[in-house]
Amino acid sequence: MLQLRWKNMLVITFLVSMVGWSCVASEFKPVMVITSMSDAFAYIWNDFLPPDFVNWQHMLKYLLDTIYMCYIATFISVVISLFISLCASQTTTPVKWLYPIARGIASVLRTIPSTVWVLLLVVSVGIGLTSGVLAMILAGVGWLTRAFAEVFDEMKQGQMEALRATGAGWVHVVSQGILPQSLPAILAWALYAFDNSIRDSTIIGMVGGGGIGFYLQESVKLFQFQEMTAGLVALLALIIGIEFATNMLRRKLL
Amino acid sequence: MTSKRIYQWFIGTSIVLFFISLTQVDLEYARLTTGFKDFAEMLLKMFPPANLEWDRVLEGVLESWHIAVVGTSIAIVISLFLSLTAASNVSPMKGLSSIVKGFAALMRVIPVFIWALIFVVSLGMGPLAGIMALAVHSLGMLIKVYAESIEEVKPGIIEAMRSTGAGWWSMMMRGVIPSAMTSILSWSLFRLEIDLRYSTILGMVGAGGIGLIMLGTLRMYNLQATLSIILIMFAMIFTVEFIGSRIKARWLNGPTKRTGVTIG
Repeated sequence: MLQLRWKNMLVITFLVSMVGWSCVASEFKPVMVITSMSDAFAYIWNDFLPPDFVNWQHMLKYLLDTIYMCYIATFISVVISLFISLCASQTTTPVKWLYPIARGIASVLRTIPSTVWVLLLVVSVGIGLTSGVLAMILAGVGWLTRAFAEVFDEMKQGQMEALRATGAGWVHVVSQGILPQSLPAILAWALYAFDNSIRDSTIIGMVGGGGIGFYLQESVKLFQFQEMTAGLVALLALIIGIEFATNMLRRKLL
Repeated sequence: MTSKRIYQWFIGTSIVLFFISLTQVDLEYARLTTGFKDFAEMLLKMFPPANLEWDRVLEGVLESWHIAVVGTSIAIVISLFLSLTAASNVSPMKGLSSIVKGFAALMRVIPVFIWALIFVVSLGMGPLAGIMALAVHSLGMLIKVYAESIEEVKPGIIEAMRSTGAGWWSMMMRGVIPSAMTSILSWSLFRLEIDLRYSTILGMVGAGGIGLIMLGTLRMYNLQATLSIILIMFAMIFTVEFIGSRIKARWLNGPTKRTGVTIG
């Protein structure tokens, strides 16, 4: 597609002027890449390193909280999404008018970032795990519904048709035909959702949702930067560990 | 059937684990019901969206956009150079490839909000912290995917250029980068999309943009204005997603179809 020379030049000029405009507007000068990088890394070197594991019991509590909270949230959102997504797929919806409603709910929940949910929940429910779990459920239901609905859309129709032909009701078709057939895909998505929620928990905690992100934010507010680094090391270990574990489970299951 | 047994076992274990988790965490169940009522009441109070200082909000929207554009561009420029040293088929030194890849992996695995937190602490609140956070995090992903694109360049092209006696530099500029260009472009665009989405919420940890303004209105309990800003964020993210998918479908072979890259 990119063949015409003058067209190329036009695109490049456009892109460069866009970037230039953004640089001017945000008062950013290219040399700042070097100065701010060196500032930041000097800061990291002097104040954040080495990690200080003095408060490891305190940290471990937050770390465990993170795992539990992600697990609870993922579990509940998988269950809720299963119901909504059955309505959000054209092949499985019991009543036609439920389809646009389920789709709409899912896309609103998905497009509003989970941080916004936490901030709103913190105002009404209060700072802590409860808000974090609720926000994770809201965000998780949003994208899991869509993922599950796509799984149902791609299902082979034969089995369902056969069941319908025997006069089976909707509940029967779902429990005997749809769920067994799509179970591997659903479990794979559920594992991925758990993985994702562990990553997401950082920012959710940082805006008041409890867990390791809350610990990180607290230690920065108290200027305990080395303790924050310790928390960060633990968090990275957790992220990598959970990713490894879910990958292994996925291979076992599929 | 054994596979059926595995699934039963898996689902059974996860249900048991769920209840164990519930006992381990001090979720406030009383708060859960009353809180949800409060939450619903608050959502109702947010309607209709109003009370907006338009000029400030517009400033925030533009600032988010600028943060994403500048952050992504920095990452693109730096990664283009670093990925040449990271791609194992063209890397000038053998050891360098794994060092650069390891560096990229570290940048990538640290969540973008942690970068934002670190840069806010060291550079102060404002757009610069957001730009740097996005740049560093994007760097981690772009080095990896650019290097992979370069590694997919057919060995014949590199051989042919080498046999003409071309130096390393001209080989890169005239042979390797042009052949990997389509995939580099589509990855860059994909990353810009991700960064635009991040830039709307980065403000919530103090890194400038529309998120910071939303945090302000919420702290002042100005609920109607908060809803207006949420709707604007919604529109921004939706537009970016829509345009991105259009561009990908039309001009570029979408990188989203590839697997093996973790985003986030």
